[in-house]
Parts: sequence; structure tokens; C-alpha cells
Amino acid sequence: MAKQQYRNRVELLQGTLDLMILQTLQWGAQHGYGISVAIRNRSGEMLQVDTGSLYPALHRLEKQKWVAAEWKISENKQRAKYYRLTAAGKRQLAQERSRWQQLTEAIGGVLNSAKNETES
Amino acid sequence: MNFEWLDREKRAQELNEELESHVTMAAEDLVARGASKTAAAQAARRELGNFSLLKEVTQDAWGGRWWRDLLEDSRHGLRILRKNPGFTAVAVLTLALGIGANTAIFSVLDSALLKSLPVAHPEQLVVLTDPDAHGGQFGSQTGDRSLLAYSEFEYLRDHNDLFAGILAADSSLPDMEVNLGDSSAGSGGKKETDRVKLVTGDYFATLGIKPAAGRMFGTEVDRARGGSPIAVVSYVFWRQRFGLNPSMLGRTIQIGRSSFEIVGVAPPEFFGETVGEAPDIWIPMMMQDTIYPGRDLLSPSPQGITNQHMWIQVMARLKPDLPLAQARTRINVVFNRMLESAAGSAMTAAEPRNYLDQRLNVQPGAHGASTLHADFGTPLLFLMVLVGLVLLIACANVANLVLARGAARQKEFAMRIAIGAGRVRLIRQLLAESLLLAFLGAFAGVVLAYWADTLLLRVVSQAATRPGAIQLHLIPDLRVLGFTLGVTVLTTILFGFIPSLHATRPNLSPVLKSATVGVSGEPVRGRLPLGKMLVVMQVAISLVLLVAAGLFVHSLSRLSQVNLGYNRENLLLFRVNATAGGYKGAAGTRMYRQLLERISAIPGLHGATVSHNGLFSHSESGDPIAVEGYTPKPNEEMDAAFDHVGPGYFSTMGIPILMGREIGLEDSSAGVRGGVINETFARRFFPNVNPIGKRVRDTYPGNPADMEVVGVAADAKYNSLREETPPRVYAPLFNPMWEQAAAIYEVRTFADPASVSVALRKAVEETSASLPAIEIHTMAGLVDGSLETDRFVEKLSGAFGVLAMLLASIGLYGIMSYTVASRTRDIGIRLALGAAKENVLWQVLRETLALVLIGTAIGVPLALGGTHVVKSMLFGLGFADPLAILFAATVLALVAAVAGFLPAWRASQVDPMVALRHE
Repeated sequence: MAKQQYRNRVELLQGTLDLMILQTLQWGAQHGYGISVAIRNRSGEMLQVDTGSLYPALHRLEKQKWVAAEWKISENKQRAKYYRLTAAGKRQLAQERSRWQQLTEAIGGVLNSAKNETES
Repeated sequence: MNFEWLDREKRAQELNEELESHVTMAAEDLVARGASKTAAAQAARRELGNFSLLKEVTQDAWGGRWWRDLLEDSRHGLRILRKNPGFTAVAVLTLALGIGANTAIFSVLDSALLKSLPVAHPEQLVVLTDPDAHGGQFGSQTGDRSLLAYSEFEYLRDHNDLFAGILAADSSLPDMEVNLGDSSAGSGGKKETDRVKLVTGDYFATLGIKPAAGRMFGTEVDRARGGSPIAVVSYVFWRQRFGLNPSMLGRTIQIGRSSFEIVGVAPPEFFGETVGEAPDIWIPMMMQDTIYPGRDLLSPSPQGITNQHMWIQVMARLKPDLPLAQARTRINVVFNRMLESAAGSAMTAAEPRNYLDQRLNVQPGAHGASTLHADFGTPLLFLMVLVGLVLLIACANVANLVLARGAARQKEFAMRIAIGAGRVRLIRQLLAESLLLAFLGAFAGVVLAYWADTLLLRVVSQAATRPGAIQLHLIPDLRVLGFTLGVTVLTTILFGFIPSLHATRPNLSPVLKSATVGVSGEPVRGRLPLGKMLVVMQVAISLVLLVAAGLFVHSLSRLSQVNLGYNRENLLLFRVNATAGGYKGAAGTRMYRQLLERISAIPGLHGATVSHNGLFSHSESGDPIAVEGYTPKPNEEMDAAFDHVGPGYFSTMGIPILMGREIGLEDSSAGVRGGVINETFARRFFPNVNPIGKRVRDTYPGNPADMEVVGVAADAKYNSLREETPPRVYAPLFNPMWEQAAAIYEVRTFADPASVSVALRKAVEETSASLPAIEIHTMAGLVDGSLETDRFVEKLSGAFGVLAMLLASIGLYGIMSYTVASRTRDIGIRLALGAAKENVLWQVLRETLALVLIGTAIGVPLALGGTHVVKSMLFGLGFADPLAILFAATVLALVAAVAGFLPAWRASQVDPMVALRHE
């Protein structure tokens, strides 16, 4: 049962999580923990990325060859697995971004017109 | 990155490290924000969540999970099976018996009925003759032709444009004396008996057979009679006699009295055109004098078209893209033209109507010719059904075992479901275990089947009345292996799937709460109905199988009680072939008479006589007749069976003479032929008249003959215990209606048959040095031989019945032991409260018997339906055989009582104190 719930959450976030990971990696290679911290900080502590979603997502992106991974020593002198964006990943990011843009504009349009209606 | 599932180990390690580094970094951050080291570490790990689940979910992203799970399940399954050797052994053995028996029967069925001839493009082959017909036949035929005469084959070969090739082969496979030594060295070489097949030149080319060594002969051998003394030998022959030595090509061997040069070797898989035969040597048909000395089977019969010798099988290869139906129509046009031209010159106007009503029933020839189809087809299919039922019972047994173990493992499953394992995953794992069991069983089963097949083949080939006549090649081919694989998967589903559904019901809390899970725990109750249903089913099917066995035992005993009409004890028979010894016409009759006199002089005999067809010798004659004083009804078939018998035939055989006299020496002179008719003949054609002195005429066109009835004999079985006695006429052998090519001597002995045999052989040698050596049979042996197929089915169905019953009683024992064990506490309480031991015992026993009763109630109607289906194979039994059903039910009840008694007794011996402390 427990597992089922886990899965549902992953699916719910999947598309957006991928987008945020790719976006985060645009500024340079980063390890999993770094990515989760970055997303949390950039979202103003709003988005708490669940590790149970993050790592499956990273491995999936790696399989799709949108990110590549290598082991490096972190600033804290620790071995960590760093992910970086590949060329294919960059193209994917551009695509996902524009799709996201369209989606938010579309939703924004719906919400705004609704707002106008209530105002009038 | 390599995504092969092989380096998963390493990647899992890396993932571990990656997640560990995550936790470390998170903890360090927390410490930096002021948390204590331990608190930070705990919080970081908590935040990560279920570590192993996270790993599993992440690994899912790698793909290839199916493979990994399969591997893991199999490994896990193997571990579980190793940990429970008792369970594994019983389950594997049960499945091995079931799967092995199925594979064994199927491979015989496959090679006897299903397999195509091992030739190129067997689907293009057609048979022009009846593939089930073998032997030879004199006379004429109407309707579909079973065999052809050589002259007819020649006509078809030369007058058609339908076939890419057409071949003829001797429809029988005679045993010949063969001398492998150099023939120039005289008789010094090694003598042996080999099977020799006469074939036409196109034989190998039409079948598309390439030699394993040397060359095959071609149409050049069809040109001149006796002109091609060359032979092709089988691969087995080459290996066994010459050790695969190529230098034997060109060597001369002696077959009968002629020398042949070996020119080639057939490929190993080739056994000829007839399934069930395995010739050692093929020789050109033009060399038929070697095999049938003194007879001309190649020229058209001098006695005309209505007295031909039909003896060959004809097969052909259709031209590509020619539909079978079209070929059938067109070849019959050719055939009819041939018949008409023959009839036009040789027949009076009245006769041709029947004669022209002959057809060639062209059929697909991919399976070749065979007597096996007719003799063993139905029995084999029937045995296949029986053995399938045995497998069902075996599956039920294993299913019950798996169920019991599933109950014992409920805690394990509940735990695994509780910590997040999917039900599907659990079922998969259980199925993997089952599949492993099934494959272990199948493996053992195939080994068992191989062994069983050798045994089966021995039984089958014993069933052939000609010694060593049935030779099947049981090479486990793809179809057999596919069959076994299919059966294995099917059994897995049967015995593994339902129990696995059952065992993984997501009903956790009672299991987890209960301290004593398994044998005496609460959830056990829930599984009993399914287990008991399985046992009831087993009982029902066992009953069906036992009834089947009972039916065949009963039918066989009825058959062996059949009154032959003569005494089969102390009776020796042997065939003497006058034609092969060079005798013709009256000389043959004289020789038969001299030989009979010589035999009668042997001391220690009760009597000796001679007849043409003998008894149970697969020989029979029949002709159309006209009877004095009898007017045929419209469309009545006026036919009678014929035999020629010597003096003293009826008294020697012990066939009672009901009226008049038997045929004696006085009937040997030419003149009015005295004949004896049988009771059936008398009843049918002389219902209210004294037949003595009446005339009976054999109206066979071209060879009519008259005789006067001198006596009426009781009916006698001629070739089969099942036969309906036809009207029969006995003519004197020494004043025959037609020439007797061979005769069978019947000798009634007092003394040791072995010493008589020596004297008989000597008598034959003294009468004529040119006669071939004789083969002496006992009458009892011949009658027994005719029942071999019945005995084969009886033995096997009996064996399957016993096997089924054993499996069912094991199942019954298992389920009852289980019930008792799970109720130890209840029983203990009852005993403690003063229940009598007998009552406890009786209660458990009653439960067992109730299961048997329900099973029987279901089984009886099934068995009745089954009886109806196999009725044609039974003898002298009605639509239901109460005896067989009663027998089966009694045996089952007894065995069930024994199987149930042990657990019941154990229940009555429960010590209340122990039982109550049990938990």
C-alpha cells in the first residue's frame, strides 16, 4: 500500500520535476543533494523535493541521455555523483521550457478572464 | 553508460554510495545550522525515507526490471526448494510421473500418427492406394482400390502428366535369409534374416532421398526383369553389419538365392514409405523372383483382369501447384480408361458394371502408409486422454502441496506485503517457484519418458503379429519437446497459479497477530475448501481412470472366453509355400498330400491336417456365390468366405460336424466336389431345408466352380475373436477350386511340442529339399497375438488407473493429515471432555469417506460418458459396465479408507495435555 502512494506522488510531479532538474543543471554540474537544495532555495523554500522522486528522476534522465553523470570530489572533500546537462538535455530543456511557458500562459489566460468576469 | 542487467550489482553499489553521500551532505548542512550531530544524522536519514524502497524505485528507472526479477525470483525459488527437500522431492516426482507419462505416450502417438515422412517436401506426396492396406490380394475389387497390381501401376506411370514422380513399393515387408559373406566363397558367410523391400526405380527420386553413401538406383532398374541385382541398404544396416565402412559399397551379398551388389546407403532418418516399418535392404521391383520365387507378380495375370494379384502401394509426388482434388479427378480419368480397355476385351456384357466401379482415392501422403493408423490410432488417442487425466491428478496433488506450504508461509507473505511488496510481485515469485518445480519435473519426466518409450515400443512391437514388424523411430523432435514444454507451462498454471492467488490474499492482521501460524493457525480453515475440492476432483478422475481400466480388463476377459469353435491347446501350425518350392498345379497338390502322409506318420501326434488359410494367420478368401434352391432378395450380397481343407480337418481341429460328414480322403479325386458349409451358411441359405446334397456354386467371373454340400460344421473364429462369423464354404484341398500357392498344416500333439517341431522340420525337408524352411506357431500363441493391442491398452490403462489412484490417495492422505494436524487442539479438548477415541477416529474417517463419496458421485456420470466414447474398443459390454464401476468404486473406497485411517488413528491418539499445551 505504502509503495502505491509513493508512486502516485512521483507521477504527479514528474514532468515539472524533470524540467526543474534540467534547469538547475544549466548553471553547472551538480550532485543530487545540491539539486534538491537549489530547487528549495530558488523556490523560496516553497518546493521541497522528495528524495524518493528526485533520484528515480535523475536516473531516468540519465537513461534518456539528457544528463550524464560522473563521480567527483565535492567542496566538502566528499565523493559525490555529479550530474551535468548533455547537448540532448539542453535541447530537451528548451522544448520543455517553451511548453511550460505555453501552459502557464494558457492557464493564466483562463484564470485572468475568470477574474475579469468576477470583477465586472 | 552500459545498461545491461549484468552490471547491476556494481550500479546498485554506486546508487548506495550516492544515497549515502546525500545523507551525509544533508546531515552536514543540518549541523551547520546548529543541530547536534546525532540528531542531524537521524533527521537526514528520516528525510530520505524508506531506503530500500527508494533504491528499488530508482532501480526501476534503469529498465530491464523484468529480467532482474525473473533472475531473482528463480534464485529465491531455488533457495526455497533446496530448503524444503521433502516437499521438492515429492512434487518433482509427482510431476515427473505426470509429465513423463504424457511425453512417452505423445512421442509414440507423434511418430505413429503425426510425423511426416522424413523426405523433401512431404506435403507434395499423395497415396493412390489405401495407406492402411498391406499384404496381397488376388481377384478383383470394387469401390476404392486398396492396393494395385504392377501392370496397373505401369499404365498409370506411363499415362499421366500430373506427377513429378510416381513410385510403387511392395505393400508387405518380407523377411529374407541374407548371406553377408562373399557369395563366391559358397555358404561360408554369415547368414541372417533381414527385411527386404521391393521398390520401383523412381522410388528414391520421387521421395527425394539423397544417399548417405554410394548412389541410389533410378529408373534404369525398371527396364529388364531380373536385370538389376543391386541393393540399397539402410543406415542402421550399414552401421551394424559394416561399421559404417565405405568399402562395403560394391560388395556382393546373397538374398535368398540371388546375389546382389550393394550400391548405396540410405540416410539415417529414412525408414521407407511406411511408418512402423524399417527395411534393411531395398531392391528393384524387377528382382521380385528373389523374394517371391516361382511367382510372377509383374505381368498381368494370365487368368484375366478379374484375377489379378494386387500387392503394391503406390505413391506419387504432385507437380507443384496442382491441387489434390484436381489430381484425383484427372488420375481417375486415366484409371477408368485403363479399366474400360481391359474390360472391353475380356468381359461379357453383363460383368463390367461392378468391375468399372473402381476408383483411386488419392489422399495426402505426407504421413506415408501404415497399418499403425488403423491398428493403434484410436487406442493411442484414448491412452493420451487417460494419461492427460493422470497429469491432472498429479497437478492437483502438487497444488495441494503448494497450498499447504502457502498456508505455512502465510506469515512470510503477510510480512512482505506489510513492508511494501506488491501482491503481483509475490504471485510472480510463487509462480517462479512453481515453474522451477515444473521444469525439474519435466526434466525428470523426459528421462522417465525415454525409458518408458523403450518399454512401450517393446509392447507395441510385440503387438505386431509379424515378429519385429513395427519399428518406430522415437527421436525426441521439436514437436515432442514443444509438447512437453507446453504441458509443463500448463501444469505450472494449474498447480501454481490458483494456490498463489490463495496464499497472497491481502488479509494480514489475523496472520500477523496469530502466534502460531501455519499448521494450527486460524487462516488454515479458509484454505481447506479449495484443498478438499481438489481432492474430490482427484477422486472423481481416478474413478474414471479405474473404470476405464476395469472396462478393458473385463473386455479382455470376455474376449479370452470367446468360444473359438475349436480347441486351441496343443495345436501347432506352420505354412508351406509350394510355389516358392517350385511346384505348380497338380504337382503342388501331390506334394501337400505326400507331406501330410509323412507328418501323420510321426509318432506322438493326436492328428494332423492341412488347410489353405489356416487360423489366425491373416489369410482369408471370399467369393460371390449362388445357392441351389435359394432366391436372393433384391440387392442381397451373395458372398461367402471360402477355405480349402484336407482330410480329417474338422476332427483334428475339434470343430463339431452338425450334419452329414466331414471332408475326407474320398474327396481327393476329381469329379463332383464335396463341400462342407458352416452353421451360419446353413441358417442363412437353407433355413428350412436339409442342405445335404444341395449344390453351391462359386460364381467368381473367370473361375466358376461347383460343389455339393456333404456336411454342416459348427461356426469357428478364423482371424479374430471379434469377428462375426460369415457364411463359409470348405472345399477339399486335394480337389481344389483353384491352385493353392501355399497351405498351412495343423498338427495336434500329445507330446512335447519341441521334439515334434524337429520331426516336422525333418518331414518337410524329406518331402522336398526345395521348400523354404518352415516357421512353427502354436494356436494359443496366434490367438494371444491377435489380442496384443487389447492387452497393450489394458496394461497401460491399468497402469494409469493404479497411478491415478495412488496419487489421489496420497492427496487424500495429505489433506486429512493436514486437517487433523490443524485440529489437534479441538480434538484434544474433546478428548479431555471425555469423547471416546473411536468417535474421534470415526469422525475423521467419515470426513474422508464423504470426500470419496462426493468424488464418486461426480465420477460415475463421467465414467458412463467415457464408456460410451470408447465403446468401439470394448468387447461384449453394454453401454455401462456396472461391474467395472462397482469395482472402481470399491477399490477407491478401500484405498481411501487406508489413506484416511492413518490420520484418523493419529487423531484418536492425541494426548489432551499435549494438545492443549500446544499453543
